Amino acid sequence: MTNGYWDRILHVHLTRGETWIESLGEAFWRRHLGGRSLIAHYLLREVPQNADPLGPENVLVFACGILTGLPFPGAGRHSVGAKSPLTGAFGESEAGGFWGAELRHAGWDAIVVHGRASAPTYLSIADDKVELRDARQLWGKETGEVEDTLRQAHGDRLLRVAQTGIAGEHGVRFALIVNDLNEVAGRTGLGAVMAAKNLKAVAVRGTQKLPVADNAPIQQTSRWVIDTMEDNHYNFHHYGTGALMLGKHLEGHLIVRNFQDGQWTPEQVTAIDAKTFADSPYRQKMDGCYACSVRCKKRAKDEAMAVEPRYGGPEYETLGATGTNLQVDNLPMLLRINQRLNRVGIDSVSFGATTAWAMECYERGLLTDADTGGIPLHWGDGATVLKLVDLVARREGPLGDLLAGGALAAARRLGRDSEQYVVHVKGLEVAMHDPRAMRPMLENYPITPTGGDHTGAGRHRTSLRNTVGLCQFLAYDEPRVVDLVRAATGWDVDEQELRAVVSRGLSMARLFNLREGITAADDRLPKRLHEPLLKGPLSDTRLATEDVQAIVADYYLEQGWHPQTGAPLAGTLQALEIAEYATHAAGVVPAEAGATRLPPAVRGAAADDRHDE
Amino acid sequence: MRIEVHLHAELARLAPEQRGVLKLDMPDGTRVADLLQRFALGNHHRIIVGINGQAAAHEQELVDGARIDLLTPMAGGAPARRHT
Repeated sequence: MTNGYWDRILHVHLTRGETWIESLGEAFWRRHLGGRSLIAHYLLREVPQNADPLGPENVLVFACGILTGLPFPGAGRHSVGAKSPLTGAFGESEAGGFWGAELRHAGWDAIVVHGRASAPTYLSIADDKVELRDARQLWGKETGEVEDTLRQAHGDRLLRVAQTGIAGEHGVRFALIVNDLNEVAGRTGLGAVMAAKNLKAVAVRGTQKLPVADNAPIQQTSRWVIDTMEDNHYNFHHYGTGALMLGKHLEGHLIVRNFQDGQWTPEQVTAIDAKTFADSPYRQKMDGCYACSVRCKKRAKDEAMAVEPRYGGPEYETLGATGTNLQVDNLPMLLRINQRLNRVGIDSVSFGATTAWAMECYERGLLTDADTGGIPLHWGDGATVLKLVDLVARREGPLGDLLAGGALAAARRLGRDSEQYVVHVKGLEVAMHDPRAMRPMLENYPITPTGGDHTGAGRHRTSLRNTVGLCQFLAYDEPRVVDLVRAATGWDVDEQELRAVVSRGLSMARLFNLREGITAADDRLPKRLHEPLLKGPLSDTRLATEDVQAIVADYYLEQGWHPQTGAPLAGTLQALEIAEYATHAAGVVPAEAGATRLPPAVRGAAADDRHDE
Repeated sequence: MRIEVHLHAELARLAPEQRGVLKLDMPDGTRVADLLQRFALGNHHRIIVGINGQAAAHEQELVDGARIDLLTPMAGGAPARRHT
C-alpha cells in the first residue's frame, strides 16, 4: 500500500489492442510527482526522434499529479501531453473538472496511449476493468452527444468522459481534449493526437478512496479555503476569471486587434467582462471542479441562442481571444462561440489568435476574398467568427483549411510576408496576457517548453502546480503546498526538494525540445511584441530584444543549462538524478559537463550568486 | 461636484448594497488620492484608477460628472492573491 499514489500506470497499445500495468516504484514517484515530469519521462523514452506527431509513434499521456483527486480545493487537475502537432515541441496542457480525480479514484495515476487503432475506439475504465470498445457510432458527433451516448450505454450518469472532438478528427492542429464537456486540455493540439490514434474518448468510473498518510492537513486546507473565501478567493468565487479586464484597458495592455492596440473602449470592455456576465440573465450559476468550494466556473444559458450550461461559460482567455482581440463586444455571441468551440473541440486561444492574424492580413490586403472563399474578415464581426468555428473544425473551404493549421503554418502557406503578424512563441499562439506590460509573462513565454502558453509554466510556481495536479488559482503559499505533498505521501519533503522536482521536469522537457530541433533561437518573443502598442499609456514604450535575451540567459543559468545553447549540462542532470534521460536525446547534452551540483533554481541561490558561477 | 464611482470585482464589497456603483458629491479640487482615502484604499499599492475610461494618477483632480473606475490588477498564469 502506498500513500498519495497507486503506482499504477495504465498502458494502452491501440495498434495491438493490448493493455498492461506499469509500476514505477517509490523512488520514481518521489523524484517526479506526476504531471509534467511524468509526461516528459514517456515522451523522451517512447517517442522516436522526429516522429510525426499525428503518427502512431507519438504517445499520448494523461497524467495525474500526486495531489490529483484528493478531497481539497484545487486538486481536480490533471495534465495531458504528447509531441505537439501544432509546434513539433513538447506538448502539454492541463484541465480541471472531475475526470482526473475520477481516474485516480479508479486506481490509476496515468494512462499512456501508444499506437493507432484500426477503427474508432474508446477506452472504458471502471476501476480495474479496462476495455477497448467500438466508437464508430461516436465518430463525427459533437461532444455533448458523445457524452450522452456513453453515459446511456454505461447506464451511469456520473461516468466521466474525456474526448476529442470533430476538430481533432479533421486534424485541426489546435484541437483540444475536453472532459466533462466544459474543462479542456486546450493548448498544443492534443485533441488532434488523440483523434489520429482513432481514440475518441476515455470514459472513467472509479469507486476507490486514495490512501493518504495524514488526512488532517487536507481537511484543514479545505476548511481554510471555506473560512477565508471572501478574503482569498472573492473574485474567483463570485465572478470567475475575467472580472478585471477593464484594468488591462486602463493600463493599456488589453489584447486588441492581434496585440496591436492595448486599448479598446471602456464601454466595450465592460460589455463582455465577467462582472457583466455575473449580473446578466445569461449566468445560470457558478460551478466547481472536484472538491473545490471556490466554484469559479461559469455556467451560461441563453435559450434564444441555444446556449446550454453544461458547456460552461467563457473563461478570461476566451473572452480575450474571441472578444477583445477580435473586437467582438456582443456577450451572447461570445457565449455561443464559446459553446461551439467546446462542442467541436477547439482551443479558444489558438483559434482567436489565428483568426486575429487572418483579420489583420485581410485588413492589410494580404489575405483576399479569393483566399477566404469570399468570406470577408472584419474586426468585430462575431457572426463570421461563429461561422469560422465550424469551418475550421471541418477544414471546410479554403479559409477553414488554411486556419486549421494554426497561425504560423497558415502564414507560411500564405506567404506574402504575413509571418511577421503571427504572435507566437515556438509556434504556439501567445495567450491573452501581454508580456510588454506583465513581467511574469515576459519571464514566462520565451522559456516555457510549450511556447506562448500562460500556464505552460517555465517558472517554479506554475510548473510545480502542473506537476502535482494543483490549480493555479488557489491562494496556497509554498509551505502549504509542501504540507499537502507531505500529507498525501508521508514523505518528509521540503521546498528545496519540490524545486528539484520542478527542475527535473523542465530539464527533461528541454532535452525533448532540443532533440526535436527546438533550440535557443526559439527562446524569443515575436516581432509584434517588440513593437509599441498603438493606443494607451504604453504606446511610447518598446520592449527591447536585449531584455528578452537577458531573461533567457539568466534562466539558463538558474536551471544549470549551457549559457549559449540552453542545453542541460551533464553535471546538472547528474545532480538532479536524471542523467539517464540524456541517452534519449543523443547529442543534445554538451561535452562540457559542468559541476555536478543542483542548479541555482533548486538551491535558491541569490541572483548575485548565480551570476558569479 | 458629482461623480459616479464604479467599484469592480472584490472592491464592490465596499458598497455591497449599491452593487459597487455609487454617486458621490465631492468638494472641488478632490484628487484621486482623496477618493482612495475615503474608501480606505490609500495604502493599497496596486489600485488601478480610471477617469472617464483613461488611467489616472493619484495626484490627478477629479472632474464634475466623471465616471471613476477602481480595480485591482489582473494577474495571468500565476495569479497573486485576490486577483483574477
